Amino acid sequence: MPLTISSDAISEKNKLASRDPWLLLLEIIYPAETPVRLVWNTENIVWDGETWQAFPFELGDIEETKEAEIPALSLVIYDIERLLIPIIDAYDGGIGAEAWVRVVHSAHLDNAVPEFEQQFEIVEAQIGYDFSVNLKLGAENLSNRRSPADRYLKGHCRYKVFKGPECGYDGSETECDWTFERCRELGNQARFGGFPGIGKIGYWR
Amino acid sequence: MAWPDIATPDNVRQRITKKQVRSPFEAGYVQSMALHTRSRRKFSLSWEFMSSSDLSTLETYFENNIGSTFSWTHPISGTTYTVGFTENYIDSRNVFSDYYSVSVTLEEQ
Repeated sequence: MPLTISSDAISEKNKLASRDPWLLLLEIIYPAETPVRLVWNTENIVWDGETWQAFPFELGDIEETKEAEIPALSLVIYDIERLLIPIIDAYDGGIGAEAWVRVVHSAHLDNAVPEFEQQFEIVEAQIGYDFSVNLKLGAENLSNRRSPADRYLKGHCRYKVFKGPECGYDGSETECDWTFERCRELGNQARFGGFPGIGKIGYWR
Repeated sequence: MAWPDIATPDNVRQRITKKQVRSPFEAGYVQSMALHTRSRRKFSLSWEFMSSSDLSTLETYFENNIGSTFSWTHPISGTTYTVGFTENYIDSRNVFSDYYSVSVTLEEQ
């Protein structure tokens, strides 16, 4: 699929000689922590209203194998200032944290839309003796996805919001326990979100 | 922490670095682009005759600040840079009596 980039970026990439570099941004997001925002550059930059700290890191190539493994790439951050290591320690490696890789152009930092961005997930983390943080970034872990997507139960309503648009009850009652019996009490069984006609243990599809 | 009060170096050699990427094409032209937004400087300082007391001051400063950054003012331009020691050592050689030939390399952060 072709990459869509801005007209400014097209102009910059077609220049035979340019004094303004493309910048590689890395954002690592741990839940409940301030995101770590780094730029592969010799000075800090401000992009999208945030300061991105100049930092030495190495991003590897995306590896694809014939073994049907999920594509992954390596990321090495030299965390001399211990910006990331305490967070990794606190989260026991922080497996599952988000990592965003973005590319912006230094002459067009006012453009809040990156020319390229891709989301990864940290699937492996190691800290070296020399303050190097070795991360393996991978695609989304599919085992975290609910599968099958839907579950069909005999006596339990699947609509989360009582009196919501799917439930449709508009009477004076204020509580529901999401059972077929309660729905019948309320006279709303025609819109019950369960499947009374199926077996006791439900059905997965 | 500022640079210690010692004699001005006899020689200051400096090198400015800013990386670029160059892609040569078969047609003969080269496409080039800067890799970073800021240049960095490296300074090689040398003293031909440094007194032993200045050398002692410099060595103490080196021991206390290796691995860190500090302010250093260029003796000619007067510009102040944030620098660090590049090498893990200070070279000194006794020239005569109580004087030493000393060299130190500093690099901008």
